[in-house]
Amino acid sequence: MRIGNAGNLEYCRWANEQDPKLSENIRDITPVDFFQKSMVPIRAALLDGEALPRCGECYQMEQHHKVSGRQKQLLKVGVRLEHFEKTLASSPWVKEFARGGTTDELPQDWQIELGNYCNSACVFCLPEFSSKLAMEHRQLGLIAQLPPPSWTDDPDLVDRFIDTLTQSPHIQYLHFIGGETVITPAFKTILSALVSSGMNRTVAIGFTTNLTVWRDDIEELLVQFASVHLGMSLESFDAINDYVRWPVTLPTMNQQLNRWTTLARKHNWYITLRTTPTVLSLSRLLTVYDYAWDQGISVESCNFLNRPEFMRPAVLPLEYRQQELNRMNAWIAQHSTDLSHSKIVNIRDPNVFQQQLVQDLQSYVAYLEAESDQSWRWPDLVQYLKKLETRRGNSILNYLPEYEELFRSAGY
Amino acid sequence: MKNFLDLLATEHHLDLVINGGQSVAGLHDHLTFSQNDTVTVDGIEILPRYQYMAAEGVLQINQPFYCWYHTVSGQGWLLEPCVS
Repeated sequence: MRIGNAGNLEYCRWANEQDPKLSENIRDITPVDFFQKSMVPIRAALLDGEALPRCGECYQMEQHHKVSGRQKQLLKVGVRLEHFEKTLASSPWVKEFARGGTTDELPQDWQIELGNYCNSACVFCLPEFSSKLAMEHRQLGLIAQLPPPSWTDDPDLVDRFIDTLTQSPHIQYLHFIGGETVITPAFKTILSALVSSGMNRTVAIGFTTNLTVWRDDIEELLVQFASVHLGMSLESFDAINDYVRWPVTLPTMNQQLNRWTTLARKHNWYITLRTTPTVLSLSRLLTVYDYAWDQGISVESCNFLNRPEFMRPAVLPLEYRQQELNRMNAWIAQHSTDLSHSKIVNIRDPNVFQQQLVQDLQSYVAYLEAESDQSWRWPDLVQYLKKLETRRGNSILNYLPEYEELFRSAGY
Repeated sequence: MKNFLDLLATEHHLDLVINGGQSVAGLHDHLTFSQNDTVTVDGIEILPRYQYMAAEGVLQINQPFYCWYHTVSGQGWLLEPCVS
C-alpha cells in the first residue's frame, strides 16, 4: 500500500499517478479501513482477471522485459508470471484470495511518501516531489500555486499513521521516499517511533537519499534496524549529473556516496543505485553500470519515466538513439554473465547482481528499440530547459555538446 | 484460466522427471528424492542442483513445492496471512 505526499492512499506503490484529489485521504479514512474496505473492488477486479488502467506502467515495463512493480509484489506472495497458475494456487494466500477481495488482514508492506521537502531540484522532477523545484517553478511562472502541504506537516496525521504501523505486528517492509528523506522531519519521527516500539528488530526499512546530505541523528536511528535497504539516487558519474540533479555537484555526490556506502557495508545493509534515465542522461548512463559492476551493487529504477513527457528517453531521435543502443549492446557483450537461469524478479538478491545489471540494461535496449520516436517533443524540452537555465546560469550545451545541432534546431 | 475461480476449479499437477522417467505429483504434495537422483520439477532442475540440502541421502520437500522453491532459489520474502 502507498501513502502519497498529499496523504492520498493508493492500492499499490506502483499504481500510475493520478490527481491525489481523486484518491481517498488519510485525513478522511484510516489506512486500515482503506485497506480492508476501499480496496475490496480493486482486489475483486484483479481476481476477476481485469487489467487495471492504473497498472499501465507495470505492463509497459513488462513489455520491454524490465522487472515491474507488479512482478515484485506478486513475488512477495509467492506468485511468478512464469508458472503463474501453479504458483498462484500454491501461494500461502490462496485461501485469502478466495474471499473475493475482502480481508481482515493488515498491510504488511508500505511505501511512505513523506512530502516534497527537498534541497535538490532535478530537471526531470516535478513540483509535487521537490519543494525547491516548486519554488523555482512558481518564480518562473510555470505554476500558479505551490503544491498542497504534505500530510506529514500535520503532527496528528503522523501520529495516526504511526499508530497504524505499531498496531500492525506483521509488517515486513516500509519504504520511505521524499522529497529528500534524510532532512524530512517526519522520517526521524517515524523511525524514532519504530525504535521505541521495538519494531526496528523485525521490520525492514528502505529509503532513498539524494546524496547531498548527512545527518548523524538519522544514522543513529538507522543502525538500530535489523535490516535496511539503502537507495542512492544518481544519474551518471559524468558531469551531466550536475546538470540533471542540480544543484548537487559530482564531488559532493561522490563524497556522500562513499560515506553512505561505507556505513551500509559496515552494517550489512542492502544497497542499490537508483536512477531515473531521461533523454538527457541516457548517453552517460553506462558510467553507472560500470561503477555498479565494479562495486557489486545493483541498479534500480522505478519505471520508464513518463512525466515530464519531454524528458522520456524515447524523445531521443532515432539516429541518436542508435548510437546509444550500440553502446549499450557493446557493454552487455563485454560483461558476460550467466544468463542461463530464468528472469531475475528478486532484483535485490545480491548474489545475482551481475545478471541483474545486464538484465536491467537489456530492458533499456528493448525500450529504445521498440518505443516510437517522440522527438517531436524536443521543442518542449528546449523551452523548459531555457527557462530553468535563466535562473540557474548553466547551459545544457556545456554538458551535451554532441547534441548541439539537435538543441539548436529545436530553438535553443 | 480467465479468473481466480477458474483457477480454483482447475486441478494442477507437478510434472516430475526422475532419472529420465516421467511422473506426476499433486501441487501440494510433499516430495522425497534420493540425493543421487537427477530430478526436474516442471522443468526446473532440483537435483543435483540442491543436493547440498539433502540429509541422510534424501532431499525432502515438506511443503508445497513452489513455496519451497521460492525460498531455496533466493526469491526473497514470502509473506503469509496473519489473521486467517
